[in-house]
Amino acid sequence: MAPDPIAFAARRRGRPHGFTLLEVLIGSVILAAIVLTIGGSITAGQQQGLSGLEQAYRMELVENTADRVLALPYNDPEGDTAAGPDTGETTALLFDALDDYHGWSESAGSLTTSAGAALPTPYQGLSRSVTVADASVSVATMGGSIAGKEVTVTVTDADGVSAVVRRFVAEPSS
Amino acid sequence: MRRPSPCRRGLTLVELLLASAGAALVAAAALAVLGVAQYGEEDAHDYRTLVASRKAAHARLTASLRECRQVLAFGADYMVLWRSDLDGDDTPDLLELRRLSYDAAADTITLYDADPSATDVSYALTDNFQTVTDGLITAGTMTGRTWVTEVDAFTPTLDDATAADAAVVVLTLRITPGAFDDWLVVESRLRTDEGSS
Repeated sequence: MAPDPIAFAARRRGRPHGFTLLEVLIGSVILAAIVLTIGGSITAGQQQGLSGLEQAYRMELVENTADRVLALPYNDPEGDTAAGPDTGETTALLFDALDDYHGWSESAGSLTTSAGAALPTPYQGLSRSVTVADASVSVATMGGSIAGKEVTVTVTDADGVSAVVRRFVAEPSS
Repeated sequence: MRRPSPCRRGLTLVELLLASAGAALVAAAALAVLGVAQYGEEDAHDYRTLVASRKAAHARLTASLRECRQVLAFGADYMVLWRSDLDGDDTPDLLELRRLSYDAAADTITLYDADPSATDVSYALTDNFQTVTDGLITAGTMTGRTWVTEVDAFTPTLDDATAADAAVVVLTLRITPGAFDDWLVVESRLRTDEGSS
């Protein structure tokens, strides 16, 4: 009996014959999607941890800077009342009053402590600046306002993300 | 006799080996992906631990310094502070002393204060407060609390060469929580204006 050509063709089609290009492509796409999803969630977790750490650096530096500015007396011992450093006060270590810090800034890579030493690595990617301006706070229960100065400390990282601290210092009453 | 059809024959050894190798490859790849996922999760956890440790260390050290008015003595691994002139006698007294000590062997910073029930003793500003506080700690008059842990370097500095004139304390430390080690700087002002009134 002669072989039935149609049945023969059907059997040929039914035989395992390897993957077609389309099947391989679909398989690859599914695999890539799975790997990318897992990879994405890992990266997101790490990114979150890193951004939390960077935020901690900014907050520490902004608090440290505010503290060293506020350590200085409100009134200049030499009587200088203009905001900004007095004559001869070329570095922050020579500042002797709160408003000497007005306009002061340090750029990334050149940050120092108030003891004069370079700050360690994690802070050196940040830059900081200070402004000191006359300000007043009105206190309703006292029926008036208190004169003083507002210190603003800004710390900025390489991506332009900032941490800002503002402190009001009242003028001494004497 | 009927010849077995090619469709019904079993797998040859080579085919079986190839299939096993393929399956093993897929399994290895899946394990690798899981391993990376676990590593990433541990890494993120280490970051969170570091952030929490930094925040705690910074807040605790700032709090312990900011309420003090003067540095009485300091060295490579300690700092003695005059908290406040509570009795207004212009001299530091036992109950007004505070000491931060770094223990390099235990990797901790300990905060020592005098027991409030102790009999107050008056000291002169010229006393050697390292020796004084060493004696008080040995005698158990000043008791310590572990203040910061996992510290493997500690350097106290001041903004003035004369300790008594310092207005800002700068503590530089390296903390090692989890897999990281990282530098931390605490710069805190003292209440130098307290004595003027």
